Amino acid sequence: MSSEAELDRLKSSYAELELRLSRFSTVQQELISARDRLDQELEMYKRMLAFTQAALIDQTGLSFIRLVADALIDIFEVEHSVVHFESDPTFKGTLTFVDEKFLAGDHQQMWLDAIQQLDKYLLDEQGVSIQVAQADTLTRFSGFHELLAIKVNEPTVPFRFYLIGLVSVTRAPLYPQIRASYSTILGLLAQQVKSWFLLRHKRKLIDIQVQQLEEADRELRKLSLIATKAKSGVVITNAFGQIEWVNESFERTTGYSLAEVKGKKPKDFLQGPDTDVESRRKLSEALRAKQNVEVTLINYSKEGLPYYNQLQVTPIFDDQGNHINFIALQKDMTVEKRFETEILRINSRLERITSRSSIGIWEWELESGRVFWNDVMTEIFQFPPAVNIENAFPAWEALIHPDDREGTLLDLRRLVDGEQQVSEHEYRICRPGELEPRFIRSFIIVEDDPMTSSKRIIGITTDVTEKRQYSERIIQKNEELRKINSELDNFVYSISHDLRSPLLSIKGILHLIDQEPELSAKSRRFLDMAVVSTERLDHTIQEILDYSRNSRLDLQVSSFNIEELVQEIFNDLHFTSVKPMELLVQMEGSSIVETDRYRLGTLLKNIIGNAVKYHRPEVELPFVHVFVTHTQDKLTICIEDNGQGISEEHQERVFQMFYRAASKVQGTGLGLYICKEIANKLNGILSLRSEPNRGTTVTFSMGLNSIA
Amino acid sequence: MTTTRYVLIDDDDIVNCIHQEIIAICDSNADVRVFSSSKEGLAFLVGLIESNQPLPDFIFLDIRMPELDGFAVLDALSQYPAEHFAQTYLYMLTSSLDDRDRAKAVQSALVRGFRSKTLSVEMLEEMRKDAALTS
Repeated sequence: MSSEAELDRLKSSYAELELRLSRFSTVQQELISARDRLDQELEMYKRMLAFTQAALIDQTGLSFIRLVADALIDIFEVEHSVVHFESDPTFKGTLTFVDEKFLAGDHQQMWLDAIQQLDKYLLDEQGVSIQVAQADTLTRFSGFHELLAIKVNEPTVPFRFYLIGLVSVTRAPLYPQIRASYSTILGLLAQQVKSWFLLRHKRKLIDIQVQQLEEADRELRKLSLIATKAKSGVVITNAFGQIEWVNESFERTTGYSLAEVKGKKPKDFLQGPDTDVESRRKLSEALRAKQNVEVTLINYSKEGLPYYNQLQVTPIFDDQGNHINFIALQKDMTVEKRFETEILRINSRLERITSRSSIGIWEWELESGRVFWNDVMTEIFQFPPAVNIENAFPAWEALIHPDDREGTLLDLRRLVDGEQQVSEHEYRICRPGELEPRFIRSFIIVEDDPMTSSKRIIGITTDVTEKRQYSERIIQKNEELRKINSELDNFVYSISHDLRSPLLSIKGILHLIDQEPELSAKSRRFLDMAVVSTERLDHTIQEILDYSRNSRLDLQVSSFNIEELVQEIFNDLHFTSVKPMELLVQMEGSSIVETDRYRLGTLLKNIIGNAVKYHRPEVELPFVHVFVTHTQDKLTICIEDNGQGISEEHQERVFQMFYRAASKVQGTGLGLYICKEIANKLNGILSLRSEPNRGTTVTFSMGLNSIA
Repeated sequence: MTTTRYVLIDDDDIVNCIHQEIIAICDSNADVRVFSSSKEGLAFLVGLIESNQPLPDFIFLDIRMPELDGFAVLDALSQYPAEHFAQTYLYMLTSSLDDRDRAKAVQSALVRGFRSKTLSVEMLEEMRKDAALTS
């Protein structure tokens, strides 16, 4: 082997060795660099761990974002960091956080624009590094050399955020190049941030739910209190309509207690014979269809009393839409229903009355000038069809009789000016083509409307022409009647006087004959008969006169002394009695009374006269006692005697005309009839109590306010 | 024994006659003047007053008379001072049953009483007793 060859071989081996060495050193270099890289990544993971631990400590959203921004700088060794977060305002809203050293424009809008530009380069949850110089649309990031970014979109919440690391052009040489391997770590960081926000959001949702639950609980407690104390009856049933709960008002209205009705269906014990079939059908159909329903129907209480029940039923569903309950509100509408019926009845009656009667009704709203009137008004004034709301007033004014115009308008003016609230006025109108004026009666009231504070004038107008004519005729007739009555009275009076004068002369002559000492027994007997006959005739004339006067003359009330009146009657009767009698009057209360003296006198004269006339001669001392009781509002007179009395069979009939109980004693049978008629005229009561052979008590009593 | 003087004013002669008889029965010493015309009766009484002579003890005055009725006579007499009538008992007599007449009659201070015609012996006795003319 030649050395040359050996050398070449050696040279070649050396070269190969050198090559291998250089390769080796490259490998070694790479190994070192790989180890460094791994070391750096490890370091990054360590820093990441530090961040994770820090993030686990409870933080507010802002401090967490700050932490993320710091972590970006820390882990990836970038110059600046930006964290941009967008969400619903109820969660965190939109906020952008920029690290403290990074002052280049913290304007929110600038960042929104910048993020928008950047968004195009990003895929969801994939970290990228971008050389700004190579991306021509990232104008907002000019001045930066490189950026590292990731975006996360969470559609369920929803929110999205961007994590951005930045290295500026000027400082780029000082920073290591962002490597592809970073994206994994960035992705991990983004995941952690996302988890934190999701967690936070869930916690917030739970908080909200807890809060809602608490509120619902409070609401429920309030509602249950309301339901219990509510004036309306409340019924809660299960889905089958069986009662689970009723409130106090229900118990009060129906008379059933909760214990009694639990598990029952309301319709089984509340409805009854008068419950309207149509309402019942509507109710059960709605319940079957599980719909809201409102009906008013007759229900019955436990005692069987019907009442109008306004029922409102609402089906209740749970969150899953299952029907679980019915809630029924029931209101006792009996009173309302009665009022409603009453109002409807009154209304319809009013309508009937106004349309059928000849009552004109009009209304004038002062503010708006609007006028309304019914058909009767048109009829009364015979307004031609051309008269309408605009020209009604002048048309009406033109109809008024010239003599009444001024007064009528003045009357209306007073009402409009508020000087008067009510007016009653009568005036004449001259309808075209009629000779005689017609009389119109108008009743007007002013009504203040509190809603609009404006005035309304309401009038009732009637044509009283015919009525006036009638009343004039009646007054005239009355006057005639009064004249006839008074003439008749004068006639009766004159007749009685003219009849009486000669009769009294005869009586006087008989009296004179009686004075003659030498009369035969026979003559004396005839004389006595003549005396009795003349007495009877005189009495009859007197009674006819009394009767005539009581029925014809008006009451003439005056003040007089009743004790004196009775005494006077006693005096007049004094001579008629053969036997001495005890005549007594006893007064209780004021003796001055105010009534018709003539009538009361006639009444007493008749009754006292009867007592005297029908005395019992066999009694030792016949008496007539008159007791007068006079109070503020009542006059009672008792006439008591111990005379013959009246048997029961006659008692009821003695007040009848021409009825005579005693056949032995003369009379017309008019006396007590007149008394009763007088009692009627005086609005008094005449009563009689009697026992044969014991005596009679006649009582007359009258209210003193009833005559005037 | 002094004479009791009576004046009767009534248009009914029979009544006057009866009353004269009644007076005669009760009073044996009576001086009775009868006027069937109220005008004349009034003139007589006025004459007495104006000549300052005493009026009679009793005047019986009917109410219903033609021309001048009892109330008109009363009105005329009321024009004179009351002391003229101090010793006089004036009674209104009537056959009327009208209560209003009685009410009107007793209103006058001159009127002593109101009686229904005709006078009886008992009534006159009572009037005389009232006037203390009997023992």
